[in-house]
Amino acid sequence: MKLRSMRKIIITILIFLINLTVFADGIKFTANSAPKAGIGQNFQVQFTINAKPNDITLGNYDGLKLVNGPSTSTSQNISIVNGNYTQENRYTYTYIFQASQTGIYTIGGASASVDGKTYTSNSVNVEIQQSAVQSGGNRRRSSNYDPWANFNDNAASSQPKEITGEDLFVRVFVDKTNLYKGESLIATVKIYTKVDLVGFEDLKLPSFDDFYAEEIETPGRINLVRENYNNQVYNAGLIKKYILYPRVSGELTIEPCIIDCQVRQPAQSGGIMGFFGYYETASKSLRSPEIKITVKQLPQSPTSFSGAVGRFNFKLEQSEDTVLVNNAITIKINISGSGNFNMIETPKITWPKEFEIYEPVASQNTKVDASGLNGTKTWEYTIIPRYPGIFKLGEIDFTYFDTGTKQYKTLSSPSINIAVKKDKDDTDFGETSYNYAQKSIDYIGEDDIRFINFKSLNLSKNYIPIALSPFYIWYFILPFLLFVLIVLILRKKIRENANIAKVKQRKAGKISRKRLKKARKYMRLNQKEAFYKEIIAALWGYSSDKLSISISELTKDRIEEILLEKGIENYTIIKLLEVIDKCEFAHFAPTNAETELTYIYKEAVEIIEDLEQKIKK
Amino acid sequence: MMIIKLMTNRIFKKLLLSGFICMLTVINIYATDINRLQDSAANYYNNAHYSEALVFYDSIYTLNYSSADLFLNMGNCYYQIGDIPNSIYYYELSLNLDPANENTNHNLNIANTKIETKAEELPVAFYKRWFISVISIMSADAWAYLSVCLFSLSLGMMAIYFFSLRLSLRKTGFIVAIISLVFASFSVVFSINLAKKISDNNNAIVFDKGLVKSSPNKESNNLFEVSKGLKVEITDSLNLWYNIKLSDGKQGWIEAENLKRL
Repeated sequence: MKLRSMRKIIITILIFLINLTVFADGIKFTANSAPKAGIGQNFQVQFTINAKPNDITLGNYDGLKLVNGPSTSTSQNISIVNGNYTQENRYTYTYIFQASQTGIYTIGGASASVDGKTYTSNSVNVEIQQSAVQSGGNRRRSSNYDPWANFNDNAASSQPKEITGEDLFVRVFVDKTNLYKGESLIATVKIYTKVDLVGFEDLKLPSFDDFYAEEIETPGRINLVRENYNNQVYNAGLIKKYILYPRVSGELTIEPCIIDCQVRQPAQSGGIMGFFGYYETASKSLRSPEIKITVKQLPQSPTSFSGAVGRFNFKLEQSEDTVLVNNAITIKINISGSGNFNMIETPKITWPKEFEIYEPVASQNTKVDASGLNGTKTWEYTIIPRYPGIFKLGEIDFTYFDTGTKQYKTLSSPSINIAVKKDKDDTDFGETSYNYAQKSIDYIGEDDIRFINFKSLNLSKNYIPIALSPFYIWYFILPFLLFVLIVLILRKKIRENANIAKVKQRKAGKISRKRLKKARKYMRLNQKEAFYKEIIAALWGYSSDKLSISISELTKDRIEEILLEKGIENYTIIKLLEVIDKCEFAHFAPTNAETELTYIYKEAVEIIEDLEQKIKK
Repeated sequence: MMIIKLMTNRIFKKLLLSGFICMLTVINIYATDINRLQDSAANYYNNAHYSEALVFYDSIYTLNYSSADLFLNMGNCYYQIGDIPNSIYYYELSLNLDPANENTNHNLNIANTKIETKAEELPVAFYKRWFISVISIMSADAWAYLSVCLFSLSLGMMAIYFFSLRLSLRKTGFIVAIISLVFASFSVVFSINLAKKISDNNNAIVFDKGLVKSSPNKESNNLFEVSKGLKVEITDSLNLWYNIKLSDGKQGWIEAENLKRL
């Protein structure tokens, strides 16, 4: 019983196992790939399974880059042979890889699950080599049918054939291979094809490391035009166009341009379906040959050469030629034309030391076209004169290498003259003693303390400041006492003087009367000189004493002034002065008239009596 | 009798004379000594023997001689041997005597840059600033002399005012007298102010780095630390503690031994 049941179990297991293997036999899961590919070239790996998988997982693919995938395609194959109906479905998963280094890479088997079971495909090896594989090996079956494909007139024959380097290639053309450093050359990248070009997958343009490259604008879409190349007609497409300026001299290389493109050709194994235009799209890697360019060093250059090569014009603009000190001037240097603008250095200008120079502002306005870089480059200097004077900066030279004549050419600006005024009214432009080369003195090291006083130290023993010494107050008291003393003495003296003056005043009338008496005596004796002398003495003396005028200050004006102050009427004053005048005149030039003497005598007596009365009051 | 009297008189006169000569020579010797000390100090200084120079200057100072220049030189010596607090101390002493000395001010500024910390100066009212800048034009003695001169001028002008007969003279006399009297009194104030700084200065220099506390005992809170060479104002004292005020307004108590009064 036991044995039977055991057998039963074994049989069922066996049946099950057979069943399983049969089922497994029915499913094919394979991987295939191109055996070789180039660096950077895309290559396909296809996994084909003849049952619909639920899921597919890629195996290990170390060192490779998965560019795209999976893209799925399905094909159905129905065959009826001798009444046997067979249907085959094929599911293809396509992955696109890329490698960046040479070597042999293994793409591990992918696993797919079908109806809950897992299947693993074989693994494939791909050899990556230096150069791109030029075969259209990796083909991809595609079912998109383009009925106009044949109208898209091209050289691709309907006969499937291998695409060779003569059918499809890319070239980089240069307009010259031998040129001077700084001269421009135009590089054109073009694709030539005889086959049906569908599109580009990858475009690796040369990097132009040794050049200054500027792209010339080309139409965004690549238009294929018929062109004859090496006596064959191609469809040629302009991919890029550059203007290049070599940076260095010597043998330079323009690296190859690598293009991965897709071409379409009729399917090779079209069978019946070929009739319906089964086309294959193949990816192809193209590589242009390297180009060697010889760049010659420019001949020995003049000192004013600033790297410009091409054809230029030179202009210099000066904002003002007369300015005040510390006011800014702008000087513009303008270079226009065509050539290597980016390599032109700032023209050298030797500025006077009296100017403060700011870094020039450079601006460039250039356009690229087939003839090269065209436009203008401007340097704008802001300079500020710090000293007055007339400055002749002279001409500024601009030298460039003329690509037409292969010679240096020097252009000169008009000479720059700047007059700097000290101020608005300055006309001689500060023609004074300035030493412009003078620099201000700066500390070289750290500032240090000053030296000791090595002369007399002005020492004082037990020093107490005067302000705190007890003597300080005496410095004030003593002058004050002196002051008081002086005041007292002066006052006394003044008082005494005043007394003397009073006495004199009192006696003035008496003295003058005495003098007048004397004068009368002389009059009688007819001694004229003595008479006048006595009259003058009487009048002057009286005025001096009565009016307290010191002899030194005694003048007619002073007498008049004081008499007026005392309120004596004008009549008396005028009379007094008149008599004095007459006496003085007669004293020096005596007249004979005796009546004159009596008259003067009377007048003098009258005046004195009059004044005597009035001043008393 | 007469002869004896005459003799003694003569002897006395002689003695007096010789004594006088003696005194003169003593003073003379003293003066030359001091001069010699000065010269050797200057020599040592010039040959970069700063500590020796300092010994000489110190000996002059201990003989009770003082002057702004002496303090300046001592400050220089201390600066050169790297004793910044002492150099600042002597520069400050020198400035007390002669606040206008340009060299001293310059050296003090340089020495002050060598201090570890500094107290930001509080903004001072404009009139105080003016007062300080005006007062610092001259030394205390110069102000004192000026005050006396101005006072005398004022008196002279007053005399002219009193006794001149000319009106214009009297007018100018009066104005000048008043103005010079005002200036004289200003000078007196300045002079006394400066003199007090010399004799009784309430500023001090920190000689030992120390902690400033909130009250005058060791247990109280630490407020801040003052570094060597800092100039502080002493506002109060208790036992052996000083209440100090920094130029940025911070206040606190510090042990007296950390400071040296100017």
